Amino acid sequence: MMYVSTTERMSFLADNPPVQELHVCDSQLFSAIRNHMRALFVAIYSPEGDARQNEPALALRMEMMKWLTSPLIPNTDLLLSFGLVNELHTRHRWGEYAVREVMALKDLISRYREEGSVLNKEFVQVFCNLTVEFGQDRLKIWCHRNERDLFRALLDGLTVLEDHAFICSLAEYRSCPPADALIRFGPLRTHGMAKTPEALITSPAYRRLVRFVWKGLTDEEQFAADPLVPEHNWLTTMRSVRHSVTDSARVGASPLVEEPADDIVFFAGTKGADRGMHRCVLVELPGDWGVLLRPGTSQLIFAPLRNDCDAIAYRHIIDVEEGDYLLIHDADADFGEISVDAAKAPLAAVWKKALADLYKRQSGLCVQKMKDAGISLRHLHRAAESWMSLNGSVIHAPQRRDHFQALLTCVIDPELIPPRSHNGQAVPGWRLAWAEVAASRSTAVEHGVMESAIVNEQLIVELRNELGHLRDMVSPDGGYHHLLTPESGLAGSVRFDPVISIASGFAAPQEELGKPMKLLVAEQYRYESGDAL
Amino acid sequence: MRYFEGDVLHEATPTWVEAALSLGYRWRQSCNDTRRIGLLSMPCGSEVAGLVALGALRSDLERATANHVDTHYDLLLRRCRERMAALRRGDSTELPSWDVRNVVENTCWRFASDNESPDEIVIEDRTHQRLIKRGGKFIPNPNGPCRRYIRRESALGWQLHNLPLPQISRGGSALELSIYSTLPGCNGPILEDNLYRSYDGLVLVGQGAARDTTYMQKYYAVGFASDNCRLPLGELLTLHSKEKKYIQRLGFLNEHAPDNSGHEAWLVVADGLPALLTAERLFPASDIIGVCNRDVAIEATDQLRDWLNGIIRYYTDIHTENSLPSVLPEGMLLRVLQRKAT
Repeated sequence: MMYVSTTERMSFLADNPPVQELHVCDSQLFSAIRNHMRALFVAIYSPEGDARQNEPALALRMEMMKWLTSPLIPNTDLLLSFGLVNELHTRHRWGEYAVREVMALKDLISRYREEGSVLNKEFVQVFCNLTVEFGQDRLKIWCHRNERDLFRALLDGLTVLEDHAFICSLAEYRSCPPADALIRFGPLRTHGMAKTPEALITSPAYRRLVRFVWKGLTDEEQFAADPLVPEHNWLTTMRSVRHSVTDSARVGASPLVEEPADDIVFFAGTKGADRGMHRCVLVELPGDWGVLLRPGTSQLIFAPLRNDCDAIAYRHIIDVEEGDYLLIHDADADFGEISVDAAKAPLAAVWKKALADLYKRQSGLCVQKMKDAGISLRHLHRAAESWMSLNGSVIHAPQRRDHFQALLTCVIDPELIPPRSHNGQAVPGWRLAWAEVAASRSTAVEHGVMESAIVNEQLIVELRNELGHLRDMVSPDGGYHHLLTPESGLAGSVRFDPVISIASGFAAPQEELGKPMKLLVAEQYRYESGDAL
Repeated sequence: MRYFEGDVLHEATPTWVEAALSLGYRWRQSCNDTRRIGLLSMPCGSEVAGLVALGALRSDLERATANHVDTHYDLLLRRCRERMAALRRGDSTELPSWDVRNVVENTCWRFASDNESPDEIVIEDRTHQRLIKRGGKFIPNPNGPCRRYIRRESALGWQLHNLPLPQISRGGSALELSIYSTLPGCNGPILEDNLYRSYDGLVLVGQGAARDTTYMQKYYAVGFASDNCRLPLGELLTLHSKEKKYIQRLGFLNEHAPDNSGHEAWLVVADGLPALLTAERLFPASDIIGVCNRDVAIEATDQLRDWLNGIIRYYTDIHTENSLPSVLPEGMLLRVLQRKAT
């Protein structure tokens, strides 16, 4: 990382007021593809369906976003991979309209691939001019890490773009010395699928911002308003020069080929109903995977740019940055099992023996009595066998108090445990036995929490000891799997997953949080700021 | 006086450094009795918060009341009562082994009682054992502890555990007058007595705490240099002057601090959003100057906007052209909010 002093940054800003050069491109052919993609999406997307049922539609939507915000040239691979080009299958599943849209898209996409993208051509031309003007080392491209090869392919034969020609995260942006020109594809939005860090505009580290945007995709109105002084908008106060570029390809008179709409807004409005959703952030990991996490949670993080003393620590997700590593571990330590001591659970020993006697004698009758008593569990035989045993770290018993009461008062002899007088009041036997069960559960929970705290603490100590080795082994392009040594007193392993990006504006059901999932599935949980949760 | 950043020595003080110093230095001049929050928007991470704090520290050196000469005894008494209350609750596990140090003798003592007169604090020798071992058993110590009394007039001779010296003697390691008096844009006369006395009415909230953290290192990589010495910003701020022979003119709090132990401050400088939220929580009555960078994570910016939207109804924007810097360098914006009258 290169050190850039505050004075260097501030002087650069004072001496070089940033200028925006906006290249807005229009293509009839591409507009037609956009329109047909929207129509096909509507035909195959089911608003009531879940992410798995809607996978083809979600993949289509994701692909469309890439076409709109990156140099990716449309192709028909996606239609093929989901069987959409199979007429019979498509007609059967989604109807005749979908088949027509697929056919139109196939034709348009193959024509477009022959013609080439006017946006990409404009980029190549401008990049060559900028290289002459400033020198290639003074140019940077801000893009998603996965898009770097697309830019390399565009400039294939003209120049070679090394990794340092790209900025893929805010952390990289902050650590880079100011550039002469920063290149960026797509509109500027704070939400949705074209989300861009406002720092790109509010914290300029360039002389010229060169942007390539498809017609119809405007910047968000309030984008780059100062967070503390909202009346000051850094985008509207930036000097701007606009170039419009149109390609010559014609599609013919078609009602679909009109003024291009804002597809990003359109697709943002197409998502499933919100059912018990929790706000979360999407942490993007390599290989088009990601994990949704609650914003307030602490995660074990390796931050390679920090000093040794605070490189590995639990951090709030708000403090995690692109380039850090999310640590997922299954570390465990053998603290010895705590088990139920029969001497400390005398009542459990009594009712469990009675239950065991009854079940062994007449298991059918025992289960019938349980049913009649209102113990409405699906597997009563398995439950009875579990409740009879007296081992493990807790007293196995019904989870619900009313089930426990029913077991001791209706299934086995209700007089088995005599009532006891307490403060002049008789406490029934089943309540005394329930108190014993509850106490064993709280001990087990306490033990578990303490074990977990000890493991977490020891894990940090162990990883800090290995820091030199870890710094050598981790790589931003893929994860690293670190096996814990027995000397550490821990067993298991730790996976280091590089954080590619963190995007807020997601809401997902509880069961999806913390679970690695494909990005296109995670996209389903993106919500707009106006959505009620 | 020249500003340095790493190995680079600037012939002229950069304008952003002057602006930050000036903001801290002049904050009190524009003071009325109503609480204010200053919000400084910066394009990137910087040492601005430390420089704002240095400006405020410099203005404190001009104030006759910016020290603990008159209040040190009250602080000792408060700590004594806290210790005794903790002992009565049976909550003695977190208490230090000693409470006060005699500055001259370098002996350590602990508070012994708060039941006697409020005009004197009873302390006892820290080495005294309440139980002693006899014949393999612990028995109450038949010998009582050696006791002493701290009175208001002798209070400055006692240093509280974990706090800097209230004042050092003439000839001790005082702050360097020549450095502080020549800080750019800070022209008021310094009261020399203050260079020998601690003060914690000014607080900086930031990350880290130990000197070797990434955060703290930035304050030791920059500073001011005269012809014969270089003083890092961290030293000028007395950030780590906890040793026996130094005074401290600034309290530092980590942004994750759960509480401020009854600490009161006239001004809290917060470095970044988490620090700003902590300052607002721990010092609800103090003035705050929050420095926020615009190149932080998107989520942090969203959280900052949410926080501002939440508090803005209780505040009103005020114009400060007459007292605070009116023209800031390119990329810096200042907003000052004043609490509405209730």
